[in-house]
Amino acid sequence: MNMTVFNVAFAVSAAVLAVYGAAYLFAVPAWRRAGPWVLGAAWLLQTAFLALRWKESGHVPLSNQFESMVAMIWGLVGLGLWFRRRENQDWLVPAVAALGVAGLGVCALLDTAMAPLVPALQSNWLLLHVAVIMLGYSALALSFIASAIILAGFGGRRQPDIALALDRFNERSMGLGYMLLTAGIVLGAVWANEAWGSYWSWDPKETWSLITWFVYTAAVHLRRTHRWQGRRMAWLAVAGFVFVLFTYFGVNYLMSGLHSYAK
Amino acid sequence: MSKDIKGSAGQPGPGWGAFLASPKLLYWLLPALIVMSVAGTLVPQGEARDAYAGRFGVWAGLLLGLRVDDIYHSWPFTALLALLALNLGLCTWRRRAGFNRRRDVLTTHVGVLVTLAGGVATAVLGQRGSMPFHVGELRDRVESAAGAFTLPFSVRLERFEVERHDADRHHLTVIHRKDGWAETVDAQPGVPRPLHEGTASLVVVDYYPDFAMDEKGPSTRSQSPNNPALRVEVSDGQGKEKHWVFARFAGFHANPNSRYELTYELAPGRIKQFRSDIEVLDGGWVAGRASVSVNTPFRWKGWAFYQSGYDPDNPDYSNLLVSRDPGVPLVYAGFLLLCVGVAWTYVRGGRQSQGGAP
Repeated sequence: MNMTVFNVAFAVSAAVLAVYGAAYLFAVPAWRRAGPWVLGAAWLLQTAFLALRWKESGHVPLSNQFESMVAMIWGLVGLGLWFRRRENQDWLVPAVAALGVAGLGVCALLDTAMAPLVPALQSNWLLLHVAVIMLGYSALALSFIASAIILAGFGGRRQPDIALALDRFNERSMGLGYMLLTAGIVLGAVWANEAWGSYWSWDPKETWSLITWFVYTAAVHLRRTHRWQGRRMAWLAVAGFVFVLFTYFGVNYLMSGLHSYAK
Repeated sequence: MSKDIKGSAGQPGPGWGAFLASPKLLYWLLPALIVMSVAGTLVPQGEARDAYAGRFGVWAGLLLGLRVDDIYHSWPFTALLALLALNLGLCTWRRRAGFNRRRDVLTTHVGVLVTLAGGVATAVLGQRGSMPFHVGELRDRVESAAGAFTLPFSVRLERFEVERHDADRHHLTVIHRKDGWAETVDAQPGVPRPLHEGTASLVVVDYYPDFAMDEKGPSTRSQSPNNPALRVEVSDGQGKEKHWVFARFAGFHANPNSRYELTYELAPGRIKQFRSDIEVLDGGWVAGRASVSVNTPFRWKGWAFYQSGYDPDNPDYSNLLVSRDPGVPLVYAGFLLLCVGVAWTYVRGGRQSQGGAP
């Protein structure tokens, strides 16, 4: 039942791309109006999947790479829909759907088995720390999407309004991601002090989270002090997201440490 | 450090002071900290010198000379953090008048500074070590890399328990010596298992987690799997055979004339929790009792006890980590200020984008 809902959520997310593809191929722009609704349905299915998994496993579905990544996609789609509505950014729907489908595809390759929690994860801090970090990664993924679109040449000098809107969106999503990343690292440190007796142990996951935080700290300051924006800021956001990906995937698979159970 | 507060009272002038307070220095410090932090995750930390020689060959001397083996406690890394604190402190101080309009940024900067100050307090005043216990042992001495120290009270480990999510599983491999077939079954005491398409069967008659032989016969010393042994009965058309199998001593007590050869592997159940029940003896009498488990430390007179280790081969052994860290309140205060400041900045940015004051 659990994985069936996941597969349906995956299919509905892919249907968003089909809607936009059909609107383009058959030259019926009005069909695109269905896109946000279909993506909303995909998000509700992802929500149902996470809720079912929580109920079946008896613990918050954030205990391994598969569960946390589904949660990250859920956050990405949710924030994408929120930003689209709040800031009127329609391009977000197909872009978020594309990244969401790719992400769910990667999830399907991971170990989907449910397992009881290891002692280190049996804490309410699991929900607080991992959920906030994953939501932060979702927001930084939105910043990455906006940056990729800027670097692909959309909103150049001929379209200053679009360029400004994309850059503004990049700033807002990066700001949200930076705020959540900061809070997530802090929550992790407080949990570490409760579980291991030290708020900072220079474990590879901790260290790479701090490195990622340094990169985005530099980005936030460069925007303010040197007015970095547009393509320059987009390159920095892409670089920052590479650090996010390494912290999330690379550290889990290439390094061992106190977070080794996160695979 | 934001540009919109530049030009206010306390604006940096030329010279070293201005450089030390400037974002330019920050843009040198952050990449340097990133490079050193990455190096610390690529080079194993805190290993013996010989291990580096084996791993890095001729480069080992250079790595050790640069203290890359303990990079986060090396003087270059400490100096970078100190410079970061100085940069942030001077930047905040010199632009203090402008911060009246950017209290969010001020809060963030002060948060980082207070966190770093807490880190210094931890490094200078904190004490941390481990207390290896056997059940029944009374200790007040804490082992530490910086030298052992003594607690102002004693702690006794009354009981140590490893809780498991599921029962141990007994994997038995049965080989028919004459016909050559082999089969592995997951056996449970008292539950018959068919073998070789039902032509034979197997049942575990007795399970001894910690096998011992005394004058009364076979027995178990404890319920911990120190010396797991099974008494197994194999039946087929030719009759029944009884076998002793030992997980740690394959082939021990095997009968070469029997029709079957058995090997036994014990797969312990998945660990749910480690729990140490301790009592604190203060001033000559029992002052308190507590159960310490992972994520549930015990605190007594400023000291905190954490469940940190066990020995799968010794069920009576438990290792507790002991810590006293006066830096924690400062660090937490810094964390709070940092989070509030960053969130404030984000909310303020949102208001501006909706048409508020720039």
